[in-house]
Amino acid sequence: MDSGDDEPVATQPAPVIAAASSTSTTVLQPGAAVRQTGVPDEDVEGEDELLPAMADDDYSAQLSWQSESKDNLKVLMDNFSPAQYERFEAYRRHALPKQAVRKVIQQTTGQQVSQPVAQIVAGVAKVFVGEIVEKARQVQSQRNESGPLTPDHLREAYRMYQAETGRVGSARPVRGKRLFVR
Amino acid sequence: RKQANFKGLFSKELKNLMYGFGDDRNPANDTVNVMEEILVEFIADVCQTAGGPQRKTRLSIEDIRRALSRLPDAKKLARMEELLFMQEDIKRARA
Repeated sequence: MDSGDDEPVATQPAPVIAAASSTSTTVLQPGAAVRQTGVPDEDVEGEDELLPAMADDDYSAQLSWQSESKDNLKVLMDNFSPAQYERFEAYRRHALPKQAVRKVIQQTTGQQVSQPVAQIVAGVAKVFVGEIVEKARQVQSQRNESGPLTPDHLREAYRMYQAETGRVGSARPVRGKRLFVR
Repeated sequence: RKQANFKGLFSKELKNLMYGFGDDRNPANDTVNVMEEILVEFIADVCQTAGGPQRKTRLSIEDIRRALSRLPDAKKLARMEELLFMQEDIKRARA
């Protein structure tokens, strides 16, 4: 099982910084708009198929954004308290295990995914976890509660998330237990 | 599609991630379990949507990209593009 992102040490995700324990959360907004890379669908064969190749324009754009991010990150990390540093390290070092994500996809939707695609979904899902936890903290603070988050904080956060984003979409109702009804 | 019980598959990593994202140093176990259920539902929803109305047999990156193209998902889409970039970076470094 993977326990870490396969990322270069100093790189951090562009718009997401973990909410530190006390001070305000700094969110870096991407300077460039997210671009479509316009690549053709990858040929579908084999477990180790590579991801679609990236166009040079998009690659350069990301490269300069990443390098700017690295500088910003250094400034941020230089100013972390020990508690903030520890929390940030936990955020960076851990990731959802891609084999488990792959299994979830295959068992819930019946669709096949390659390992690279599962890894991408795992990375996206990690951001989702962050969105829910951050919302749950807001819920908790609005109720003037403290301590570890409770299932109720999460459920309320998820409800808010669904209301704000709309259900991802064409997911048909699953048979059996539906946990969270809108 | 059935939503099988994946209890515990993600617990270990989820605990650390939840702390990283703002939860207590030791998140409550039942909270982690609920997070896992929500997570599984999220993954299933995205991939179900990505597969489209005529459910494809195999999901591609383009499918996922389309599924995350709405404004509220901008952060997640940006993360995807960033991950793709990192893979590309590695690939070019090897070439």
